[in-house]
Amino acid sequence: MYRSQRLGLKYLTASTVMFGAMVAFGLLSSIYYIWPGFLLNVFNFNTAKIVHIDGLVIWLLMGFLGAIYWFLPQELECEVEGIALAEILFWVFCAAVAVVVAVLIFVQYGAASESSMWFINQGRKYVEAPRWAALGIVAVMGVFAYNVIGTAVKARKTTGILTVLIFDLVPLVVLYLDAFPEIRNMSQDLFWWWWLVHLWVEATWEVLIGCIMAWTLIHLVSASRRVVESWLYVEVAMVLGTGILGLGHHYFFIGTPRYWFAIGGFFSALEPLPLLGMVVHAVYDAGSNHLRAANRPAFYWTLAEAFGNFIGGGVWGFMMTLPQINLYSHGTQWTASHGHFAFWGAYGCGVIAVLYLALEKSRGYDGLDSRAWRWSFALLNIGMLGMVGALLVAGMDQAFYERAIGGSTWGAFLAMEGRPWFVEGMWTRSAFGLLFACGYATLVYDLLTARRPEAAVTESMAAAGS
Amino acid sequence: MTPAAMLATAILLGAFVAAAGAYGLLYCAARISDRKMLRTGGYVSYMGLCLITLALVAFTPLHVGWKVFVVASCLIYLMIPPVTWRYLTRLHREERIR
Repeated sequence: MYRSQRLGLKYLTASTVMFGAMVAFGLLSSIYYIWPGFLLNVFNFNTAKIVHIDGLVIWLLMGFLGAIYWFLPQELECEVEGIALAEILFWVFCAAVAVVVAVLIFVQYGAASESSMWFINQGRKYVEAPRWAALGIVAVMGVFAYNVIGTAVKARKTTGILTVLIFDLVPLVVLYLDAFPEIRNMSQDLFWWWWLVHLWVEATWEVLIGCIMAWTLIHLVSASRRVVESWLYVEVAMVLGTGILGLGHHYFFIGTPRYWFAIGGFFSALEPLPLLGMVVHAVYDAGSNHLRAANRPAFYWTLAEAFGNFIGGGVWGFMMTLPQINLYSHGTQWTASHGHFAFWGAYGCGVIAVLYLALEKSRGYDGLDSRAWRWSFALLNIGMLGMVGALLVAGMDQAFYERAIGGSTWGAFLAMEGRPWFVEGMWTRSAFGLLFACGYATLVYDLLTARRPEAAVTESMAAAGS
Repeated sequence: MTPAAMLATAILLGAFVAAAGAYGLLYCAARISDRKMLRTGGYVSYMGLCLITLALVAFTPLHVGWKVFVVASCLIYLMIPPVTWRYLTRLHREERIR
């Protein structure tokens, strides 16, 4: 095994730990909606939510880095350039994440001063990490870009997937710099902030996961490189074609010119089209393999990625993307429902598929199968469906009564907190969140004890015999 | 737009993409397994998509531009599964020949 692959495994392990932290803080955050006075002035809702959402960004980012450090040396058949530096930065990254979480838990917030921004919280939604840690992320991404490009130069070779990845590294690194400026005009601030949040998530990350899933298909079902690369080009063109100007759906009602209604609505309404193409591709591949693969967990998580992306991003997104609907749905639990589903489908399932693929190869197995992965697959997906269903009902209730009828007043907001559908929605979300957490625990158990298929068959035969 | 119309429109828009997805899924499943029931299911899903489009055009307060967009999308969704399927089949055939 290459050193880079060992580093990839470390990143994937760290990613799994962060996944757990994200789930734990998500569960905690859900409790505040049931008991609004929960941990008041001890550990407020806003901090729990920060750790939950930033935990999501970090677990996925670590998962992507782990996947690429895993696949890259196989792709170029040589060790990754600058691997020693990458190994050092992995530990720096982990230590920085631990310190930031500790500061967010124990210090939480400070005075409105430069020092608070440097050492406690930068204050920008979803990228709240203090400035020193944000600089650390820039360093990690810079070294990662050097690793990828340097290795291609060293190997004097590139492939279609790698070329797409290298082009994607530029916006991946550059857009993160948008986390730093202090803009006092709120409209201007939001205008640029969405470049970071949307263009990372709905453009550069989509391309990144496209490259990762392309490698996954090559290693998982021995898909033809030429087929996978041709399809990757088509998908990347379509995703970028719709996703870049789809940014406009975040520009409704934030003080931007009116033409963003048409641009944002039109391009984001086009976003389900490439997602449907991905579903067709997934069904084609699944059919070609008769729904069989040696590594069944990785195969099923790959399928879940295609369908989850379509439903979470496409169906849930299209419901609320046109400006007339978005006026009422924006910022309600409806948005949270879409966010949960889309992130899970587009990225979460993909990272778990890579986890299983790397696990199989690192343990020298030829395939993986167990009862535990089926349980974790079912619990995680049912838990997610239950959560997004509950959030959708609560969010529609909010959009209807609080926004459309109540006119978004403070009184309407308070009245909403007691409405039965909203309250029941919050309880249901927490219950399914607990189920999701059980799925996570089962996933970790399976990752620690995963076996090759024949071992699982032998054990089940022995159990049947006894 | 009344509150009830807002909610109905949103649900119809979600159902619109869901029906397109069901059509794509069943179309491909029918091509793989050659089962008549799946093929019929695909056609029924697309008919559902057309009915949802009709409801969006006739009964919702969306601006006319969005209604034209929805109708155009309905036609494009009809083509995506067969065109994608043909493209994938051709790619795989060429790859086998190579």
